[in-house]
Amino acid sequence: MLKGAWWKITAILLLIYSITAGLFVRLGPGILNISPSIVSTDSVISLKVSAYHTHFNFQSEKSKFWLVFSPRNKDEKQVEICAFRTTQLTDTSIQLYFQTNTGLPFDFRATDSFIVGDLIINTAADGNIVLPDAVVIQRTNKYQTGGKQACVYQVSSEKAKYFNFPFRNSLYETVRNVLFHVPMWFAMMALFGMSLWYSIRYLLTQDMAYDMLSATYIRIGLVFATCGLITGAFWARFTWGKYWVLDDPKLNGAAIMCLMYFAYMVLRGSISSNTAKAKTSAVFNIFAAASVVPLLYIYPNMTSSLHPGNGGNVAFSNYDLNNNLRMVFYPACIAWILIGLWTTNITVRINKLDLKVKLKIADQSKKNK
Amino acid sequence: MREVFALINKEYNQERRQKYALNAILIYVVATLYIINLSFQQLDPLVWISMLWIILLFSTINACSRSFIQESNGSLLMFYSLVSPAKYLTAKYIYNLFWTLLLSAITLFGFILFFGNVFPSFGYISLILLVGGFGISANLTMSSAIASKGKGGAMLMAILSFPVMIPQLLLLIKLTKKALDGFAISGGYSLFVQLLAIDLIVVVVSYLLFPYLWRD
Repeated sequence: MLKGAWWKITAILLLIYSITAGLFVRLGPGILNISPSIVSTDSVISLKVSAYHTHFNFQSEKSKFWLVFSPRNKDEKQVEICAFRTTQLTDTSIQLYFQTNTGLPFDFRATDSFIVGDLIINTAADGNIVLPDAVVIQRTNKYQTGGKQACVYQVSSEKAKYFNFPFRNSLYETVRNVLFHVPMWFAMMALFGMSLWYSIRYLLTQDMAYDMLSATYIRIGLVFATCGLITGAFWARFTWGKYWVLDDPKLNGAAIMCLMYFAYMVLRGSISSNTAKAKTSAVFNIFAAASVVPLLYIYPNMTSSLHPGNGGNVAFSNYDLNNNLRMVFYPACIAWILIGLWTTNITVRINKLDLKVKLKIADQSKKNK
Repeated sequence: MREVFALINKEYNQERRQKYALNAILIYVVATLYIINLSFQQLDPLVWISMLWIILLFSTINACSRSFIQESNGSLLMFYSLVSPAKYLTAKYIYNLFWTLLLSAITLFGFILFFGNVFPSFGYISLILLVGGFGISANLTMSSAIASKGKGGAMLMAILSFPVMIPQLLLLIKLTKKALDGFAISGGYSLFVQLLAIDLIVVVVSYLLFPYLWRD
């Protein structure tokens, strides 16, 4: 009974794992915003930092705060200024004071009217927290140069002490959607691929069982595509401001895919004879796939995209600083693909039973006559 | 080859007997052109291009959808016993290609007549329409063959051919935009190669699949 069920058990376990982890793992520490974000050099800089999921009060004597300015040239070193005073407010907000009126420890060039610094915070519980391009320092006439490199900190730990998902600005808690949205498309591609394979098998063997498999794979694949569209739409609403953006190759690719396979379903519905339906839909499946596949090669380099990894955007791997997302992402992909295959399997079995029952009824009504 | 010519001749005669077909499509093109003329007065070059391709797309879909749908089952059976599927497809393809190119020429001249020429060189846009016509007619021939099996008629044909044509259309529109700025060969060359590659894929796949499709 359980002999052939190992992959179903795997699917359930992985699904439970990925959903629980995806919903309940805590988001890592991060800096939400910093104010003011534009300051001038001739004063003490006072910055109010609001952070998320941090522990500033935990062993607060070990907490370090500093600004980093990257060099403009290769032969220069990067420059760090440390906070000389902090006012503890709460676990997630803090007031920092940086001294720049004694002179920044490097020269502004004549052409540079401002420099941009990253804020780095290290606490005992949270490790390193970075807000890139946190503060802009404007040059004023009264600036001095040649201060000393004030701080080289020994930090206790660079990583947070608890298992977390990486905090990304502008994504915040929605970063966990990557564990639900992306696997849907992976599963859809897998199911459409299977359907293509069975369409080819059908044309070669003319076995009706392959036709039923092929059509069912597409039906279940479309369910996954719909789920991918819905999860994607809500994510897009949060991060990009709209449910659907135009001119994004991935969105358009998804739209074309859906149109194509909905057209496939319409085509199947419009043919009454079973063999003609099987033959025609198999031909359309192969023909459409062959003519849409080039899109995957030509389209991505035609326009820019808002998705990670396209058009100059950083790839997904850059979002996953501590590799924790990956530990849930790959199992989630496998789980959803297996669930797709399983659903198809069940649907095909239901269809077969349906046919059997219909044949039996037809038989009996013949006998009764 | 003689069989292919005979088949094309048969298509032509069939068309000639029902005179309304040719006139209907010509009026369709002219009417849409006129409506655009009324609503836009003057066309921005980018709108010019998109309108050209939209009109071409719809008129060619209308023109090519008839090629298989109008065949009765009896005549298909007759051709099945007379010629090979590749020859039959070739005849349909050449006939549709002729239509597509004719419509392209009419639409292009109509646009130039109504809205003026936006292209610095006439040669490039003709070349684009020619190469595009090969791919579009191949695609539509196969789509029409598939759609003829269903009961949806021209509607089904449109649904089936849209998603399949999008890669080609994207490339064609991009190429046409390049033709606007005088078509720098460096950028256009690779696009042309891609377009020809897609045409080739569509033609090869059509010839592979058609034999399965046409015998019931």
